[in-house]
Amino acid sequence: MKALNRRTVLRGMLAGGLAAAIPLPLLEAMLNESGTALAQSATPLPPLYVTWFFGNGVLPALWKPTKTGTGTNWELSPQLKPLAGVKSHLTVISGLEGKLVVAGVEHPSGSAAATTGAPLNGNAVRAPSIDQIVADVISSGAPFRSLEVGVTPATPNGNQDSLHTVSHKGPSAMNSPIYDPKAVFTRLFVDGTAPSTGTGQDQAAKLAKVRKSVLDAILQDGARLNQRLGAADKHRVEQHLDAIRAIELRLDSVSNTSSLPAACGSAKTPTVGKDSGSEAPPAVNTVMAELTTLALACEKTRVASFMFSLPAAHVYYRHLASNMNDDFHDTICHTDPGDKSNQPRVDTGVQYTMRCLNEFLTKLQSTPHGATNLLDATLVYVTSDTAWGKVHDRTEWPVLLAGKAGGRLAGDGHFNFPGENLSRALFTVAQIMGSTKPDFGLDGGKVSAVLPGIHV
Amino acid sequence: MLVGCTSGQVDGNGPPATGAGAPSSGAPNSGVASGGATSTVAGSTNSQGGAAPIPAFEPAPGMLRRLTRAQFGNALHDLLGVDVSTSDIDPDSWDGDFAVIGASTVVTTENGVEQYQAAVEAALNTVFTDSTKRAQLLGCTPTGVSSDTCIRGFLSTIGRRAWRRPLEVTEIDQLASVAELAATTLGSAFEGAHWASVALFASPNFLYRPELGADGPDGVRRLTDYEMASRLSFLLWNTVPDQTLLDAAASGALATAAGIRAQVERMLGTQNGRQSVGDFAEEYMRLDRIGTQAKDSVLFPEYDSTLQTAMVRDMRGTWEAVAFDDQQSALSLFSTRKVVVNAALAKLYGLDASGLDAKTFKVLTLPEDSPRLGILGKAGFLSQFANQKEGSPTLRGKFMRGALMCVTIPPPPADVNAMLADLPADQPMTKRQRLEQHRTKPSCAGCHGQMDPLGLPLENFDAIGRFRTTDHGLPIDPSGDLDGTNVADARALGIAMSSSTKIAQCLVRNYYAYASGHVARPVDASVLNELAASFQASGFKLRDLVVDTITHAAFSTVAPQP
Repeated sequence: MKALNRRTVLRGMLAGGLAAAIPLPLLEAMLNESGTALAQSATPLPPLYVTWFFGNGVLPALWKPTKTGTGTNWELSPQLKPLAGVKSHLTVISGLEGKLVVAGVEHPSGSAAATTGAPLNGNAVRAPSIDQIVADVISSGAPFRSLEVGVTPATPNGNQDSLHTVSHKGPSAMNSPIYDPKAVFTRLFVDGTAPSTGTGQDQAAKLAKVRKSVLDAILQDGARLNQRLGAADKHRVEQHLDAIRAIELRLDSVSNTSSLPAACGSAKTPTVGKDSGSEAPPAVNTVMAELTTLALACEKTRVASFMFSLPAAHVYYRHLASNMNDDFHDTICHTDPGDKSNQPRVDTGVQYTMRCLNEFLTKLQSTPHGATNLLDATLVYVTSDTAWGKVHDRTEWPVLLAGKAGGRLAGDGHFNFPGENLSRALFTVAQIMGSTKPDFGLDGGKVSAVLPGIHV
Repeated sequence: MLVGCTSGQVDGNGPPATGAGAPSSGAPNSGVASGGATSTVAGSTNSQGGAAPIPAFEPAPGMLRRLTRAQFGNALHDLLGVDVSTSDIDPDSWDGDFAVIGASTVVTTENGVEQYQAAVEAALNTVFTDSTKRAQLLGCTPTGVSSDTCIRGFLSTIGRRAWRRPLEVTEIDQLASVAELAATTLGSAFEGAHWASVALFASPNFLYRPELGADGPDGVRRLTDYEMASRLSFLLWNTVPDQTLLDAAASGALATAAGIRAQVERMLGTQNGRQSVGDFAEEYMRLDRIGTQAKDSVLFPEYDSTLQTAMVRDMRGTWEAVAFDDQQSALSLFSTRKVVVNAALAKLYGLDASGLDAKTFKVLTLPEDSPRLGILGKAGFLSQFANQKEGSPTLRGKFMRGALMCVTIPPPPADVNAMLADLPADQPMTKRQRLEQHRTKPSCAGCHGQMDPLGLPLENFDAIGRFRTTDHGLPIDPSGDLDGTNVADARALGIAMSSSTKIAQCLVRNYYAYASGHVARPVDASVLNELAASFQASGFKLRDLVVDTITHAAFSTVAPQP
């Protein structure tokens, strides 16, 4: 009965053209009676993780709630109002400062500060981003280590890696977002899956066997190549081979049809295409939110980065209003008159951004997961590449944790840490997600103390 | 207006201006100090005016470079006759400001590896589902067993070009056993060849180019013959070597400067040889960005993929024409009236498009008094440094100052008050007026003064490079300044730049970085100076710069990997 309910919920969720019946792989048999833990080991279900990123910052005076506290003691700020339906699942962290922001390269250095806690080295980041640190902790055994999607490719097109993604496995190891919903769908639900019955299944098993022999050959080539390389290049090739091994593991799960959540592979290709006008259309947000939710629900991955817009996105929200057909970064954020509380067109853009975030959070909440739902089970780290886009203010960085991370976040609270290093939020997130590393970040972004009172 | 020196319009482009702990940053911007009237590229002058000692050359460590998107596509095209969509491949890294440099540090992440697997499988699927293509590729009929001479011969032949070296017996054994397993499992000997080919092209031996070198009898570590063949091929043709080049490697002919020169001359003489300059221009001028940019479809309905393709071809083609047809000074790039156009681009340039269509290109000449001149007047440059609606004098000027003139633009002071007075919203202003505070406010003028006066003459060209005389209904003042010399407009700027020795020296520095695969280091100074001198002596001929760079001893020496 429970499974049926999930299907029903998912059916309603798939408005963007995805197929209907999607049973979940978190099989009843795997859970204990209350659905909160794995049956055999009584291990609590591990929380899931999402970085939800948007470019160009906020209007800090409209973003920051006026009162701190929990429950009825704090109220949503004007720019957080679109999230009213999930207030119980929000932990707002204000007052933080992006101490690594470098004049002249504010957006790339701000992006790196908010995701890696480290300065840039040339055009590359120096440290892995938070999602990848979390993936090190929780992704083992998941088909995909992490998923990166983007709603709009709008970009200032600079050379720095941190302008083009907020997910870095390490220096020069960019997890580039996929902007085409069809490509996201193919990656998750088409490649490596196959018909589950009849001759199709037989052929799929044969192809899997052949592909495995190809992958084995690649692994052997890589091992021989590695014998000739210095440490740095050896590491690069090893990461390539790790990805080959991951493909191999997914092929194994195809051959073993008993563990294959068959209908996860029978979903249909989305009908919405990539944003070609650099305008972050609502339809693309909807389908990306659906796909990311599905990826978590079908246990394709436990870690995702949802890039609503990139750092310094040169995005045109012309679909919002006739007066919004201007470059959000160049023209609206930077040149519209007004202060931190009053740039009306910036507010329009941020309000839209938060409505799009709300759509994702609501989808998570309406998707059952074990005995609860995905929003209860997930930590969604929401941030940007600057605080106030007009002058690249580095104080009052927008940081929001959504979801309850399987009970490790209480939710419904606003905490203020004036002048504290932005990296402390990253370190806190890493600790909540189970990292045992004693510190986080590099140089001016290095911290070794969590923000108190966040982790339940 | 842009706000403050810290405008994000600026910081979104080009190499970072700061380099603390960043030895590999900012190729075009680093450390050029022209020694007054001399043609020194890399030397510096101290406050007394005497030249600082130039450090001795040291070889750079060996590299493992991943094929760039373009190289991956070209190689599959050349070896399999299949065109792949390179925009579906893991993006290039621009660390070092060239994709061929970022290729030595880029890490292929999980999705990137999946994209390679998918692209290789798709390409070979195209070949093996077409019996004509399949027969052409194989040249024989396989039997399906691993000892089959057909499959072994095929793998050995195509493998030598794909991996840029002869395959070892164990490697052929391994691929042949993939073939046998696939043939047996799928019940077709052709499927065996198919999947062995997948293993060949998805191998790190295809996707990555080792340039590690080996110690010679004289104790000098040089690229091996096959590594040299590969380096020449990817540098000059941007693809895998041909049989002739591999044969030259096998014979030991690439171990000498004369042998290298002979191959370089041969390669430059082929149709592909022109691309040596075109491919360099494509990376240097960042033409890859053109296909990714959106423009306002109401203002610029003509901005479609046909026009974008033409913009790339125009820029590449003009560089190639200056180098190979005109055989003129590279500096004439800034004053040439040549354009390479299809119908759409001819129309944008106001030229007669008769006889042209979307796919037919012609070299045409702009009118003698054309306000549009040289590569800075090309849509492929102008449209790139612009947003969806308007051009950016700051971004255009920043690229010119940094990439074309090798001058580092200092970061604004950290405590600068970036808050400028709000401009009146209800009154039309030109971009020049909107940028006024940047040139007048002292805290901004330090950096913007180096960018905006170079970009303002290009204000006569809009966000896709169309000529215009008004901005927001007001007449445009296109005057600017090149290092203290006033220029009246874009045409005057192009002519002034076409006599700048400094720009020629900067070109040497950038071509050297592109060719050697690493950012120019202080220990490259002596080589840069020699190349700058020979470039000047040649009359700044691009083809000579290519040959001189490749035949320089520095090009073939390498240090062990740490």
